[in-house]
Amino acid sequence: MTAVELKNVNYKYPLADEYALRDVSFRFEEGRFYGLIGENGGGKTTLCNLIRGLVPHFYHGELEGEARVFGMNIKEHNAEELAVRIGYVFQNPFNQMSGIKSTVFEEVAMGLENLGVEKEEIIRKVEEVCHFLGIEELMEKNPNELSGGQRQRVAFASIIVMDNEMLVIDEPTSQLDPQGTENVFEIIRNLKEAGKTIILVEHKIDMIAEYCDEIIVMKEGKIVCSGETQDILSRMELLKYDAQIPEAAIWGHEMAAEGMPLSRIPITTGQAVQYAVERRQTDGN
Amino acid sequence: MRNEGSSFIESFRRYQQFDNWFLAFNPLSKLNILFVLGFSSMLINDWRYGFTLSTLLCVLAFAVNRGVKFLKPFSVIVLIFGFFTLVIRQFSVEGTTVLFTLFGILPVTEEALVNGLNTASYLLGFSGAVILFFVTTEMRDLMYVLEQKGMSHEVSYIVLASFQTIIDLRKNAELIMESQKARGIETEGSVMNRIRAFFPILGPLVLGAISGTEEKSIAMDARAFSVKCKHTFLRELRPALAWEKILTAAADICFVLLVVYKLVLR
Repeated sequence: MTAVELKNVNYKYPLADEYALRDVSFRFEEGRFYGLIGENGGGKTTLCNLIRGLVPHFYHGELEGEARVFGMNIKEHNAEELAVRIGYVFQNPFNQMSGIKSTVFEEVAMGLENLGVEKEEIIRKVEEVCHFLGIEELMEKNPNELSGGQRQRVAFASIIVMDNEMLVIDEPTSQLDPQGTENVFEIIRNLKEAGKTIILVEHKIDMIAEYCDEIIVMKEGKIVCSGETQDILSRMELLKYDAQIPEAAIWGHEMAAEGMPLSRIPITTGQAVQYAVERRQTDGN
Repeated sequence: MRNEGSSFIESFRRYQQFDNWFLAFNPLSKLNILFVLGFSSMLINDWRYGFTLSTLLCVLAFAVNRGVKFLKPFSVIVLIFGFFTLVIRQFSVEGTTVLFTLFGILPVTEEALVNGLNTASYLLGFSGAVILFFVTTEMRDLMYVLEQKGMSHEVSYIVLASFQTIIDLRKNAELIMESQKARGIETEGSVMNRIRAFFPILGPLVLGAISGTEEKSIAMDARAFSVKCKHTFLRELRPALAWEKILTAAADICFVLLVVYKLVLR
């Protein structure tokens, strides 16, 4: 089933001269994990804002074309309803804490309080999510005293507890150290295994290669290419769109250039090792 | 679940517990009684009542283990406003009965002294009541009872978030000053140096606060903040007890009688 359908969407922010999205057409299917990559200023965050309904309900501006989310035109959607159905986590962990709760447990519970969920149900769900994300040791701590990585995990918990149908995650690790990044991608892996529809904007291409089902590449507000992760991330021409390709793919192309092509271009370290072993076995035979 | 977490989680299944009866007092009832006491010292305007009241408030603060927190701002009020008012009144109020001369030049009259004591005492009585309220009541508890009475949760959020925003702004200002220092800008030393270093940080501080507010609005929106339905509360306070209501009503009745006496009968 289609979660989001975009047809010839153009969008310009208020007072802006240039369009942030140009002739964007794409279909996001339920249960799939999409990676959105491209240069800075390419339109990735604007696309996330559109899917999430912030465009046009929060940022007004000029929206042309057709954008349908869960079958309904985005302009006709109730903004509050979209907030419940689509979860949103973004890059700055410090601005995702409410600032009014004394403990992480209460912070995570806040969304359920706003939805009028009964107290016993709130307690059960928050306990479950804290256990799922491995943040039980943070439950009694003050959110304002946490590190960036810890806050980002709490931000995820606060959204996941609301059991949204879709998650839009915009550069969640850009302000985190390697351990924080590792923790966040562990969460994302668990969400993928739970079958959520996920749209992830990330520059860490090696991580994108590990987890995403499909890749969308954006440049200057346009989708310049899209397709299965294995197919897209193995192409060198991605570099002309100012997008990165994984180290494993670069190594695969260099092997081919040296006259030692592998069975296919790898995009992850695991694949690189596997294809190298296969190559060696083939050479040995 | 870990055993050590369960008592923490269990605490949400019952009404919040407090260390003593005064801290557990319904915040609105407490607000009512303390403000009535504070205003009464202004209405009565007698130094004997005012100083007795502020002494009793001080004793109460210590009795409920908030003495140190109470004394910190209260002593500033005593020193600056209380003493200052007493001195100023010597210049502004005319009197005939000179009691003594201060520093050999300032005559202290009985009339000016009584007037100064009355003014200082009602300032102390009123501010003592306000300070005692705020050191024995968490803002989140006050906002909780106001929401129970129908105040919107948006207003509640604005009030509570404002306190955190002040702390965040201070931290950000320190960060910006440190980065300015790392770039070789003089941020310490004379008052002029500090003023010169301070004003350039206002721009990034304010812009940062504005963009932070935008992101925070989006984050709160993602937590269904704007959804129009009845909110529930994880953390609940017990309703006001009968004796609290009776005490509050008695305080209000006494205050109304005092107003009538002061404004109408005298």
